[in-house]
Amino acid sequence: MTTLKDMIAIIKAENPTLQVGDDEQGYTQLSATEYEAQVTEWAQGRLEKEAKQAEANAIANAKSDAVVKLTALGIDPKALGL
Amino acid sequence: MPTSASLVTNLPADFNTFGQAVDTSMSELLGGTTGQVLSKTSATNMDFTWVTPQAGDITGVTAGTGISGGGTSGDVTVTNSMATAITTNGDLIYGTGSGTFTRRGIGSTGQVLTVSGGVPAWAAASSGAMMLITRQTFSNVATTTTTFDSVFSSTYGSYYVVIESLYAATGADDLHLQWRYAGPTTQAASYFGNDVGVESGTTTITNSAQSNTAQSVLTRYIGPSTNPGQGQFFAYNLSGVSAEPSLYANYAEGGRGSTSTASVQCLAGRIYTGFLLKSSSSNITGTVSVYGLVKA
Repeated sequence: MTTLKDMIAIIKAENPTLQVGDDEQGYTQLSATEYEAQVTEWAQGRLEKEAKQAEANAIANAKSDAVVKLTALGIDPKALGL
Repeated sequence: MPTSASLVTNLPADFNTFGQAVDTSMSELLGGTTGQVLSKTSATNMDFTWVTPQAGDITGVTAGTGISGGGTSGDVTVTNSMATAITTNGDLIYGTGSGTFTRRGIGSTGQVLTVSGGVPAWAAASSGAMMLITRQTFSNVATTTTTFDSVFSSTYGSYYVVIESLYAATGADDLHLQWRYAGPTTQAASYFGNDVGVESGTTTITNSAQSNTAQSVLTRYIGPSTNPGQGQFFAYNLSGVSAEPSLYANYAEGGRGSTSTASVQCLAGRIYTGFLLKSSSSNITGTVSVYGLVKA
């Protein structure tokens, strides 16, 4: 499982620098403090997203397994709402 | 020997040796009439011709409308008076009569140019109008911090925001919104609501609750650069008085065609002045337009 520290390292490798701004006002790089805060926030966001995806996959797999077992027992899964 | 009509250059030298030829080339300086000037006939030394000055030669500079300075001798300085009347960023120049003008300072955000007392003047947009407040394009930014500051004011009652060609470096990222207020400071708490998403090609509907979160989630899938997404949100309770703003958003990501709807309220009453957009874990690129709906 990816730790927060690992994820921060991954995001830093993807983004050696970060910027804010727009085409009209121009762009400025984040300060070192702002950069660390942004990378940490992103790492937490990515880990949360991965955890939710893993949970959704686990539920889907469990449901699929249940359908296979019920069918093998001669029970219609749809009758149970699966 | 020179004749009585010869113009010699060096008389003592010419007479130094009796009978020698003398240089009479300056004889071309003879002649001419009143007002003529001397002109070179060719590149050859002492080859001159008296000529009449051509009409149009500058003999003086007189300042006209919008111009000051001028003169008839020495260095002439001419100034664009219309340009020097401009003193401040955003100034406009308008006429005040025949050959006269003055400046009109820039209006405030959301104002439109109208006529008052026979001259141009800035004023609030007429009731019921929807005005484009700003349209900005940004590329690979961590957040849109500062880009959409100072877009909300008492001029408008609510806002319509259009998101075009938006993508994230990580296409599966969430799109977040946070309100901003004087400072400017980002409101990073007290968001309540939910977002509902439908995956492309499936009947699976995902409903995610947002309960006292750090931001509003507008969609759970922004889309990658190969298939940018687009969307819109309607926001209200942002009319220059302390209030709890709400938004209603629709978004469709281009890659898979997934769609989502979000409804989020921020239960922190303030006078909000703008907002920022960001993704949950990577840079974003896109164009966003903010329209204000003028109070009825």
